[in-house]
Amino acid sequence: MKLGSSRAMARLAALTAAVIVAVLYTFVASADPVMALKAFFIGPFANRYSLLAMLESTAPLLVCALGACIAFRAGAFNLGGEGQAAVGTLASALASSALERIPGLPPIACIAASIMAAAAAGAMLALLSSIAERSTGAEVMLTSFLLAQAAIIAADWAIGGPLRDSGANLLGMAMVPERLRLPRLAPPSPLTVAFPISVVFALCTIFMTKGTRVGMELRLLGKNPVFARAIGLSPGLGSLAMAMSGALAGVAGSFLVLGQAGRAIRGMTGGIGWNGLAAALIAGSDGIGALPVALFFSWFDSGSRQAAMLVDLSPDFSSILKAAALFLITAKLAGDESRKPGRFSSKAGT
Amino acid sequence: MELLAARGITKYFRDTGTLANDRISISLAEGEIRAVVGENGAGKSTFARILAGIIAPNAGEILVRGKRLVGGSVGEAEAAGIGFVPQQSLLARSLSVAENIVLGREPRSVGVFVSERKAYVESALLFERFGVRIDPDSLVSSLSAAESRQVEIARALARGGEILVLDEPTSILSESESERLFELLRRLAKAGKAVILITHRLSEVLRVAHTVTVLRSGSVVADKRIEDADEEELSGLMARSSYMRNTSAAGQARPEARRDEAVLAIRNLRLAPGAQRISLDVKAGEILAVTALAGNGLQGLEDCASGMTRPRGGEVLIGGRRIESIQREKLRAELLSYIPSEREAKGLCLPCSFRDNILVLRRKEFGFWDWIRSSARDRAAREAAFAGGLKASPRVAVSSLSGGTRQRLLLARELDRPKAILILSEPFQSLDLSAQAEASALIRDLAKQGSAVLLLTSKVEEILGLADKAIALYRGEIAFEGPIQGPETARTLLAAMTGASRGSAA
Amino acid sequence: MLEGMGSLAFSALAASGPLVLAALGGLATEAAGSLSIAIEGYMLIGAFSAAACGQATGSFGLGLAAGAVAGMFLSLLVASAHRYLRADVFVAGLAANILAPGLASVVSQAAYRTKGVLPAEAIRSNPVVILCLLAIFSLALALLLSKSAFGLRLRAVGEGDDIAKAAGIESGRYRFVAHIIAGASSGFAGATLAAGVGAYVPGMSTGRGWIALVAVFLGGRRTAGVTGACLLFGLLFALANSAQAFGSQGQASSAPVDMTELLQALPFIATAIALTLWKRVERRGRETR
Repeated sequence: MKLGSSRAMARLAALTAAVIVAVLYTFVASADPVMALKAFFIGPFANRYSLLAMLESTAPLLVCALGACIAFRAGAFNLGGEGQAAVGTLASALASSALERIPGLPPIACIAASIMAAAAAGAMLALLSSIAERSTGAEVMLTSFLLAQAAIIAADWAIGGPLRDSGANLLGMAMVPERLRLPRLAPPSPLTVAFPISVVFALCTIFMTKGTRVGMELRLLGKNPVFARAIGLSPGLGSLAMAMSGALAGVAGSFLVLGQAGRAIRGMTGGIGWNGLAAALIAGSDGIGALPVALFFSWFDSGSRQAAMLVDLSPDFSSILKAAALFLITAKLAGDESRKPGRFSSKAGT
Repeated sequence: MELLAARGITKYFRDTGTLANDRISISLAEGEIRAVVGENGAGKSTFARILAGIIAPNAGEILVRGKRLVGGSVGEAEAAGIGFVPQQSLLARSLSVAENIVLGREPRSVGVFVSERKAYVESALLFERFGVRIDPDSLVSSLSAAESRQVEIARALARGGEILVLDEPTSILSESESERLFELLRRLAKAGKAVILITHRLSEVLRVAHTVTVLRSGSVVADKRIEDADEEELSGLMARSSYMRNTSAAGQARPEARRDEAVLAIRNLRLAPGAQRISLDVKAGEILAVTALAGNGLQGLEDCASGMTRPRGGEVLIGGRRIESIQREKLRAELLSYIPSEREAKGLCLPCSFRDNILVLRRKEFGFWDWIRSSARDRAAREAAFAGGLKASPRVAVSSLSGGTRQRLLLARELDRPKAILILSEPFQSLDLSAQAEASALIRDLAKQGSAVLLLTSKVEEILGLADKAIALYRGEIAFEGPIQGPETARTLLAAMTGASRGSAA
Repeated sequence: MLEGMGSLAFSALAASGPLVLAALGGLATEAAGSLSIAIEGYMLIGAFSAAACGQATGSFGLGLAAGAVAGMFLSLLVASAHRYLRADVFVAGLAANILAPGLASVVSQAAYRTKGVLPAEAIRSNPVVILCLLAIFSLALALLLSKSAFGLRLRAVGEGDDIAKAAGIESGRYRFVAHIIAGASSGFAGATLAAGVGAYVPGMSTGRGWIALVAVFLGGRRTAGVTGACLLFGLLFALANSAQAFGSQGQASSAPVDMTELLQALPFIATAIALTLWKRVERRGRETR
């Protein structure tokens, strides 16, 4: 559809412009721009290790972005991704440590259970907001953020406090034994099954949005909630979307714990919820753009890190790229596609 | 000298292709209250907005005290002394009355700081002068509709208004509140201000106006002094000629309603502040039309009957069961067809495809594979379109369809089979005459098959030849109820809708 | 005992100070109907700029002013994107929040060859002085919002573009200025954070910008309420800190993480509950036909 391709063009333009910003920046800030550019563009792909590491770091980001896309599609703005991922890390670590003690369980079952525990934790946190909205009308945007912030504090406290592994010198829980972590696909690189699993999630999400009745209903709900009510769309649909969104963020948390880190560490979510939200805003609500955008973000991160290692640039400069892409993507002229998120305040205007 | 003269005002809206104002000329002297009356769509609001400078006319001129205005500028109109009071309150609800009145021209105490005292005094003096009894310190959110109206008028005066244009000022007011408003208007007139009162409520017009202009389909069809005007004559002039044509279909024999019990029962709804609660029944096979002009309770009736709003104190029963107790999905899929008057807000998903919109009530009919491959759904959409006399490609977004096509989409979707109840609100909007005739025939056919039809419309001519019984609402109360018996019924209905049959006050 | 309470009160005030100024800035945007979620970003960039400028110029005044200016520039970005490119305020704010720490890190690396702590003794100062400055500016902003013609018009703009237009007010301009005010005030508040310790520590805003936004809602979107909410939050933080210090005195092993840390979750939970209850009351009281 013509409309679709112009959206894709807009996304590509935004990301390309971000890359141009990167190029300009290297010329301004670095004493050796050529080296910096080589590090940025080629570095992440230069060797197997860095390429696979890049893919691995895409996994949790992609999954968070998918969750944000689904909520976005249903017209809810789930701002609690960070917190849902945090409770996911906690739940996953707890599940793994509990299952560790049960003899005879196949590792694959334990890993699956751990991931599901994380998904459940994230889903429940998100559902709280949805329930509040259905019974009182309190905006999901606000409550999801507030509850998530509280959850982050609680999770950080738990991981760094009572659940802390006292032997270690960082604030984290005990290591999850190797066999109960996500299997490595190509050691010594950090790539685990997380990446293929996240791609499968992406495909499932796209399938849901494009090829099922529920996907169509979610879109209807998001685009015109009054109409959705008038034709009798199930009121539980919004809650379903929030639950899926929270679950996916929780899964992202479990990927962090069961992946390279191998344990729950205080503060390990490190902004993944916000990055996932940003990626989702650029990718659009059907989820098709989620994988490419997540890969772009991972590349920004990896490229910046490589450039920082080789030359004198700061590794945090990928944030600038992401911000640039966000600014550009929202500066579209047609307001039709990106539904304006429900506003915080109940006043009219803007 | 004339205070205001509008000559040959013409306005054509290209995107809808309507000639809203066709060479309208009006004059106004100091101290004159002129009513501009007409049915919905007669062009009154457009004219008011042209005077206010909100839109510019395509042709014609506006002169204030002989000085020609360029038009299309609110600032210019205000500077010339034209104050506009729109139908919907544009006061800032979280601010006080005094703050609203001085907004934009705030009196200062020191530098940037507002002098609350001066604002209070200014408002109080203004209120005193015109007999308005409102505390300037009260918050606008605490005011009644009538008080808000008065504050808006006061604000227009405070901003230098000599000529006030009021757009349907009484639409949300009760009788007694309207009377108090009219007293204020009389005092304004005595003080030398001029008022243009846009309204469709004839009986009120006769109470307060000095002169009346009747608009119909964008042109002036009458311009009289109140002493020379007759209510019945005026209401007859307001009505469009087309309904005369339809009266030939009126009086045709219609099959008797099949069952006696009401399929749709509405009990004790209060449709307007201070109005008596109303009840009505629709039986199977019956077509009941409820007509009212905008602002008289029709929208409220639609919202409650369709289950979108929960009535306070009243109830809506479908087959004896309360509407809230029926699962809405089942309600809409099997029992209730609903065509809302606010088509885009409640009846369509604009960015979604034609196919998704037209099949949405039948979405559960499609199986797993039909959602993956769209061929079955595309086919069903095309069939539905064909059956509804529409041509539209399934994948096209509804936002790119014309109003007429959208309306036919709704009709095709909701009238595909005889469900127990049909609630149709302004079902013929955007349709040309032949499409209207087809739709009418379809509705009649569904009623014959047993559907109970509640037809809500503000256009009397649409219900002749279609409805068995009609109810007219005025200010939220039933002003007329009876069978349709030919063209006289139409006149009676119109009179009831405009409050004429209430009788004018002394 | 009294001394303990006195120092608690003081640390509560010290903690609330930056919150109040930032929250009032956020209130300005909310009043205008265009809530800026970038307060956190403004505070961070303000803290960094104050330290950077302080280090470069050695001046306290210039350093703090730089914080306000930096916040203003970032808000200029957001406001311009919204006004001229029709960008969504929320997304632009999110972008600003992502941009701020990255920008700080990048500039820090480029100019000072460090991504970590950036010391700036020049701006370190007596907390009483900082508190006074904050109080003065907060009072000025509060008066501007509640008593001036600008504030009145801003509130009208927040009710709706057509409502403002009916009074002859051009909404876009006022919303734009509201954003700039938020940037300047939050930037300055961030600068005081850096001044408090005499350095910029990456991420030192630690969510205070978000807490300021939370205070806007908990305080019922009124200057008095918002200030009260900030004072409350400041007290909570002071309590958490002092309990922590107190606790670790009596404990054998120094637990770096304490039960009282959970207190920090209270503002969020309290606001969530308050909002939900408020909506419930609103819904009950709303008229149906």
